[in-house]
Order: sequence, then structure tokens, then C-alpha cells
Amino acid sequence: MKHFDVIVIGGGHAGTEAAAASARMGINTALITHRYDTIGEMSCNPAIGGIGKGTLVREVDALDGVMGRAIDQAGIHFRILNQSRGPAVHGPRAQADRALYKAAVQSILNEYSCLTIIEDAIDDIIWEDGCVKSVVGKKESYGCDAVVLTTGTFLNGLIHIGDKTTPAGRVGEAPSYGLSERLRDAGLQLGRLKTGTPARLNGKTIDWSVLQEQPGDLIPTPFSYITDSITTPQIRCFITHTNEETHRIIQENIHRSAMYSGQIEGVGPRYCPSIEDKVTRFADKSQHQIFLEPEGLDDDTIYPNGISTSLPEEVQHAFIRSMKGLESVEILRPGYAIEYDYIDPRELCPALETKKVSGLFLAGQINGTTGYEEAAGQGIIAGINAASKVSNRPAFTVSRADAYLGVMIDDLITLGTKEPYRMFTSRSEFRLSLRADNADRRLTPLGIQQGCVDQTRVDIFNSKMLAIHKAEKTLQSLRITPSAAQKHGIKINQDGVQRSAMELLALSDVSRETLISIWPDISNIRPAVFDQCAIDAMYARYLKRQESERNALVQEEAVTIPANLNYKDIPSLSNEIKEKLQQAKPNNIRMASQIPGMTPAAVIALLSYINRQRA
Amino acid sequence: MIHDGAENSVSNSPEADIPDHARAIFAWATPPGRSGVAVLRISGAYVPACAAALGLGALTPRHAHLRQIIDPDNVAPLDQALVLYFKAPHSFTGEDVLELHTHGSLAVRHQLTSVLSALPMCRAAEPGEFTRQAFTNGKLDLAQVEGLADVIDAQSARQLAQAQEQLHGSLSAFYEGLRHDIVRTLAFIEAYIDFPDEEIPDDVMHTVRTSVTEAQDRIQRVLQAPNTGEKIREGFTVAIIGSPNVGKSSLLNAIAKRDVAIVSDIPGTTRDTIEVSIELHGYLVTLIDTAGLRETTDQVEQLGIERSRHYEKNADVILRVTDHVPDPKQPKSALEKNEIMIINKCDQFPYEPSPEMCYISAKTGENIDQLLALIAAKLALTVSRQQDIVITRARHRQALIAAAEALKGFNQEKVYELMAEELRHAAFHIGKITGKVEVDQLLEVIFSEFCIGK
Repeated sequence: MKHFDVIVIGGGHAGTEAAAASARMGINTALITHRYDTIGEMSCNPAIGGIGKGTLVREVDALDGVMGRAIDQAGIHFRILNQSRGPAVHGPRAQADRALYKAAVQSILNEYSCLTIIEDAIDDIIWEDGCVKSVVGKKESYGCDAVVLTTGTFLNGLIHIGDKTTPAGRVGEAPSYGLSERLRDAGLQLGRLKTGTPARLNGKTIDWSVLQEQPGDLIPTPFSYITDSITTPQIRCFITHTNEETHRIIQENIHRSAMYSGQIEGVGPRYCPSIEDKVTRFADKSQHQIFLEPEGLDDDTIYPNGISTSLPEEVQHAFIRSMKGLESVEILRPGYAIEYDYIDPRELCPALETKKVSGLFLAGQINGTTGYEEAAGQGIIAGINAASKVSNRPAFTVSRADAYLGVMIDDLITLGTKEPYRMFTSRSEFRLSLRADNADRRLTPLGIQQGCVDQTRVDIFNSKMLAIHKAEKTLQSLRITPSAAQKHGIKINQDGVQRSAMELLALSDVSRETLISIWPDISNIRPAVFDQCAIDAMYARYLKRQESERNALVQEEAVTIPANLNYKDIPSLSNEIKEKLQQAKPNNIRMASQIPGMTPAAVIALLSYINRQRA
Repeated sequence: MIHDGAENSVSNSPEADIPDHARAIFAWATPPGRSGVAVLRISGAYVPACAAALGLGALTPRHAHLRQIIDPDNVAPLDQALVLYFKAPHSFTGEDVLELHTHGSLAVRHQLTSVLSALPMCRAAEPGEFTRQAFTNGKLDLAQVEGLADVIDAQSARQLAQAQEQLHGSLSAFYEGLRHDIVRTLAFIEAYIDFPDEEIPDDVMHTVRTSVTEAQDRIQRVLQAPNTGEKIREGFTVAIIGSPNVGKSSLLNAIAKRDVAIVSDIPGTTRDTIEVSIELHGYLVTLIDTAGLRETTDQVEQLGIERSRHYEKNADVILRVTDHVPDPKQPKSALEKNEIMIINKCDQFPYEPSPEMCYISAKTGENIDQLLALIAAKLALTVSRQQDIVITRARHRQALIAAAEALKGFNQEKVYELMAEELRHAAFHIGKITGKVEVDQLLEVIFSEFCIGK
């Protein structure tokens, strides 16, 4: 039997990142997937990023992940969302050429010498004494010390189109059955979720001339901190709208939708509603906008973003053709809803390892999330941790004070999820410091310390940090009196107290040009570096205020609870609480306090017991 | 420093920049109310700075010093106090600790609290914060920590009862409602931020601004409202009003059970008001004897009468005293809700007990106990009549002020994420009052929800 230190099952966005991270750490890694050519597939919409999600991509990139670099090669329409708002909520987003994206992912994976890619279908995972030993494929079995399971929607996947159901993981690909049962055997809690995808259209049959254009940014901003510029040709995107006729058709046929007929048990996401949902729940809206997103440069397939549906095919035809520009459109593939099993993420510890089976890591949609970026984020954390575990390195965990990655994982493992989990900036209480522009400053040092960042990036990162440091020192050392500043048009208290250039930058109406007019030397600071200083200055007052909150959080997270703690031995706890704690096995005091039903008295009793154990 | 009110002000005082968590914390260790000696504790790294600001001079750790506390604002002595300094880590909290044993008068307590609140290097402690600090620094032994669990349980029951009986739940309903509305408003802005492509109607921003203004108004109303809650702790005023020589001062003495006022039968003897603090059925009451109301040319007496008029308007309860049975033919002047009609010298004439007036004899003490019960009943009525929400604790006031500041900040910000930040901050502070904090910070919540020591 072949043996690998780490085996990653699944070649989607989570699996890709997990395998690549493990390989970057020099661990003998295998990625096992049904088909090599579907590695890096974008099964749903052909786009990466967005608000919050774009920041996740930057965070994955900061840990030297694949996604940012791949989309920089494959992106054909770049846009920074929320450009009119402050940098803390900017959301980098790009439309991708699906074929280019897959090719980019595959070529990046091929560069890792420690990584072996195997085509096989895994039916079973074997563990002994609670430790993972091997995985069983259709072709052969593979020994291993850790497994990262990233099965996406394949666990008992079931596709719904109207009243037709087809077992599948994705269109045209068989689901996997055995693994769900094996995970249930291990005592893991499973649940069922639902998601959907719209029909695909033939772009040649769309009347583009009548549609409103949505231009991309003039100068595309790369996702990756190590990409200099975007060289792939850029295309244009268009918008159409549903109308009253569209809504009428949908309403008349609503009973035939799999989601409304009661045929689907799984819970779908509220923030990515099907068109049936939109029309029913927001009946007063006379139209909904639909983005027509090209799937590639040499591909006429169009992804109509905003009309995911599980209505029967003929109804889909009728309502799609009722929209402007789509009157004679050809539908290449109908939309569908898919139901799949997921594992209650409260079964996981912050390293994304299951608490019940040592060496078994889960990442991506299997944990109840939705989205490529969320999957990639968990993938890279699970991969780093699987590799760390087999090489006796400490676990790699990211606090919610440090990254959206931390927010996502903390939300999932402490609160679980009832609908597919998606990242929003509002989920983070530290949004002003968790920005797309500074993900490298937040995470790359942690990655370097853990050993998952290649030397190329280390060098680029270090020289950037040096430049920022020098620039900040310069900006702090240049000082001016308020009266002199006023002569340059800066509105400021005339209190006679000198201000540094850095302090002036915190004022909303002070630009780089103004500062250069006062101190010509500032023109020597590269604009990108200057911008970093300006953003720091802009939020400085708020970041200071967040410090107390941040400290309290970090303090509570720092009180860790030993994994082998036997809660039955704590005398002052009620049996109910003991059972809840035994079940949840929280990793630290903050997590313990989040368990529903925990009383403050119980937490104090727990703290006191831990202290005594340590003494 | 000149404040020209410009929006873009940059603070340059290094101490103004001390973040909350780094500041020293202070709290009275003795219960509220009047007492012989009151003890205030200050804990934290900035304790030496606080001691310097109060002009305490050099302090030797673990020695008792008799020192003047100086008000840094006007450099006037505030009180003489016994001062003890414990140097970290040899203190109750494990940090630098200063103990000030001051005189227990309300005035001193009040003034010292406001002086300390104004210092940039310290702030009022959250409930239980001292204990929490001691816990964090390993200063509580195991038995104490285990005992804590019991205390918390007992404490929570008591707090619940307190909240229910004192405030009929309207207080928490008010704060929860306020917080709920702010969070809801925040959600509107978050929608703009997280869903920029979703065609959110522009008038939402108008709704947002309206609700913020509304929340500000609600907070301001509470901050400015007459404060029954604080009164419960700091005392009510009960004024004795009446014509000269009806026995007002005798009544004061009868109630105070000691001769604090000069009593004579010369009309106009009491020219200035005389105050006595007493505890009446659990209420702290300042009983005020006023100058008799009459026409006079004596300037000093006139001033006294002016004061009497002031108390007639502002006292919580008014005892209207006469010394004869009113003529039934005279039209009865309507009594205000907070007034009690008292007929003194009932030992000198026969009378029929009546529900509308209280017959007493200040001289013999007849019916004084009934009068006291009546005053207590009026005070209870004042408390429950207060429909508006009241601030019961200085900590609540502090949180409300912080929330108001944040809402003010909201109006000054132009970018959505900072507007959202201010709203989140406002909600956070109000959540601290009700114990509902969005970002669950365990120890913070435990020790703030439950008042474990101080």
C-alpha cells in the first residue's frame, strides 16, 4: 500500500489549497480526486471575490495560497466593489475565464514537488484507536497519517430540477455515498443543506445591443500580493432585469419548484435566494437585476447571476425569455438545486480537525459553508494543520481579531450553522483592521513562522514591510505648525501644537499632493506604500478604541482547555452542563462560554478546575 | 488650548490617549449612602499618576498616611484622608492599589468621584472589575474562586429581584429597546456595505439618520431627566413650609429626634434653612426647615423666605404646617400630590382624625410616627410615579454618555464603515448596561452582569 503523510480528498477550492499548503510545508502529500481535469473547477458562477470574500482571497494569498495567483491569471473583468466607501470594506472581485482558471490552478499545483495527484474515488476512511490510518479508493488503498476531506456537495448529493431528482455531486458527476455513513459511524453529527445554480445561456443568442453595460475597473487590481499586473485581456459585462411578466410566470408555476413543493428538506441560504424566493418574498419589487457574466474569452456560455432556480425546464425557458435581450436566448443547461450532507462544524476544533477522530480534517462545503473563497480559506487552514500535525509542529490557528479566516472558523465551530455560511464584513467586529489591503501584514508573518510561505513571497513581503516602516518613520518625523499647515489649505485647530505628516494624513481632506507641496521629499515614497500609511492614519483613532475589545478577546482565547479534560470530574457542575461540555469539548474559555446553556457560575467552576489541574 | 470646534481636531495630550483598558480603575469599597468613613480604591498601573494628580505627595507602600486630597481643578483641599498605598504585585488586585479613607459625607463622595472621573488616567470600574483583575493576576485562592461560583448564583437571583421590584422591568425594556433600534439601524448601513450591487433604495439613509436622531433624543432625555434612581441613593428632599411660628422647627426636631434647629416662639426665628439628614423607612431624606412665610422688611429674613419658596417648588415632598384647624367655610386650597397638610399643636385642641390632614404634636410627639409613614408613602409614590426612565447607577450614566458620544460621532462621519463603527460602539455601550454584548466577551460579561465585590 502506498503511503502519504497527508492525503487530501477532493480537488475543489478547499482541496486545492489544502494540498498545496501541505506540499509547501515539505510534507509528502497526495491529492485524490475523481477526475484530474476538474481540479479548480468553478461549479457555480465564474467569479472570485466580492465584499468580505475578496478579503478572504487576500488572506489565503497572504499564506501563499493558490486562489489569488490563479484568478490573477484567469480574470477577465476586475472590479473593486465598494470603491466609493473606505478601504476597510473594499471588495476585490473578478470574473474568470473558467478554462483559464482551471489551467492556472493545475499548473500551480504541478509546481509542488512534494505533491502527487491521483485519480480515484474514495469510498472509505479507515481509523484505528481514533487515529486515521488509510483511505480506501475504487482503484486501491492509500496509507496516511492525516486526511483532509473536502467533498463539497458530493456527500449524498441529490440534484432537483422541478420534480425530477438525480443523484449527483455536480451535473454529470456521481455523488459519494459511503463516506457519509462512515462519518456518522464516528459519531459525527450530519445535517442537510441546499444550494442552487441558474441555467446557462448561449451568449450568441443574446441581444447585447439593448442591454446596460457594467464596465470593469480601468486598471485591474490584482488579488495576489505577488502579482505585478494583470495581463489577461479584459471583457465587458452586461445587466438585464426581470419584469412583471417574468414574475407572473414564476408565480403561476411556483408549486412546481422543488423548493416550494416540499421535495427539498435541506435549508438554503437566505442571502443567495432562488428567483422563486425573491419573487415570493419581495412581491412588491417589480424587477430584480440579473448580471450576465461570460464564462470565458473563447466561451459563449453566459452565467445569468441572480436567477438560481429549481423550476422545471420548460418554466425556466419561459421566464428567462421574458427578459429584455433574452427574448430568443438558447438555454444550454437548466438551473438546478442540489441537496447534500454536511457535518455540523461544531465537531471541529480551530485547526479544523474533528474532535472525535485524530488526523481527520474537514474543509469547505462539507462544513456547511458556501462559496469558493470560504472553501479555499478553510482548505488552507486545514492543509497547514494536517501538515503541522504529521510533522509535530504546533497547530496553526488564526484569531477572529486577526483575520476573516479566524472569524469564519470561530463562527462555524462555536455556533454551527443552519444555512450555508457565507462571509460578510459585518460578521467581524474588527472590520476596520481586517482589510483587503493589509492581509499580508496580518498573516504573512504567521505563515512564515509556520513554514507555509515560499521564499519568493518572503522576499517580496520583507521588502514591502521595510518600505512601509521607513515611510511611516519619515511621515512621523516631518512636523509642521498649525499656522503653516493652514497656509497650505489644511483646516486644523490653531492651537500652536505641531503635527506630524502622519497626523495630518488622518484628516479626511489631506492628500498626497498637499503633503508633497509641504515636504517635496514625500514624493520619494512609492504611491502603494504611501497608501498603506494613509489607510493606517485614517483608521488610527478607531483602531485604538478597538484595542480594549481586542485584548479581552485575546485574553479569553488564551485560556485553553486541555482536550483530554474529563468534565465528569468537575464536582460543582450540573450533569446537564457536564454533558454539554463533554459533547462540545471547547478549546478555550471563550468557546466554552458560547455554548448555549452555559451559566457564568459553570464557567467559573470550569476555570477554577483548569487552574487546579495546572497547579 | 484653544478649542475652535473644528471637526478635524488632533489631540496632542499624551494622557488623553490612554485607552480604556489601560487606565486605572476606581470604585467606592463602602456601600453608598452617608457613613462615618468611606473607602475608595484605585487600582492599576496609573495609580502613582492618580496619586500625584490628587496632590497626595510621596507614599510609602503599606504605610498609613494622613494627607489632604487636593482638587486638581482649583487646587483646593477636598478632604483629609487616610491614604494607603499597596505596590504591585503585593495588593488585592495584584496591581498598584491606592486606598483613600475619606469622610463619609455625600458631598465628599460626590466630589471625589467627579474629580477622578475627569482624570484621563483613570475611570470608574465596571462592576466586579476589581475581582476580575484579582482573578486574572492569580490573587484569589482556590477556595475564593470556588466560592465565587456560589456568590454569582446568589447574586444573580438578588439582582433579578432588585431589577424587578425597583424598576418594574421598564428600565431594561428601555435599554434593550434602545439597543435594538441602534442595532437595527446599523443593519441598514451594513446592507449598503455588504450588498453594494443590490439596489438598496436611497431613502434608507434618510431612515437611518432619523432613527439615530431619535436615539440621541431618547438618551438625552434620560441624561437630563430628574433622577429618582440616583436620589434613592443620594437622598430626597422634604421641606417643611408654613407661616411663622406654627412649629416647623419643632417638627424638624421631633423628626430628627435631636435639637438641631434653634427652637423659640419668636416668629421669624428661623431665618435660613436648616437641613438634617435622616433615614426614613429606608429612604435617605434631607429634611429642610425653612423660614416662615410672611411679609417682612427684614432683608435677611427676606432672603430666607426666598429660599423657602425655592424649596416649596423643588422639594420632593412638602410638609405644609399650620397650627389651627382650617376654617371649613374657607375655600380649601388644593394640595399638590407631593404635599402633606399638617396641623401641629393637636395637644392644644380637640380634633377629628381626617384622611386629608395629619394632626400632630411636635411637642408631645403625638402622631409623629404616622406622619413619618405618610412621608415614606409619598416618597414611594414619587419613585413609582416617575414614568420616565431613570438612571440608577453612575455606570449606566457613563455608558449612556459613551453611547451618546458615539452617536454624535456617527453624525460627523462621512464614510459608511466608520458610521457603522460608531453605531456598533453605541450598541456595545448600551449592551454593557443590560449585559447583552454583541461580541461575547466571557469574563467581561460574567463580571459585569454579576456584581461580585468591587
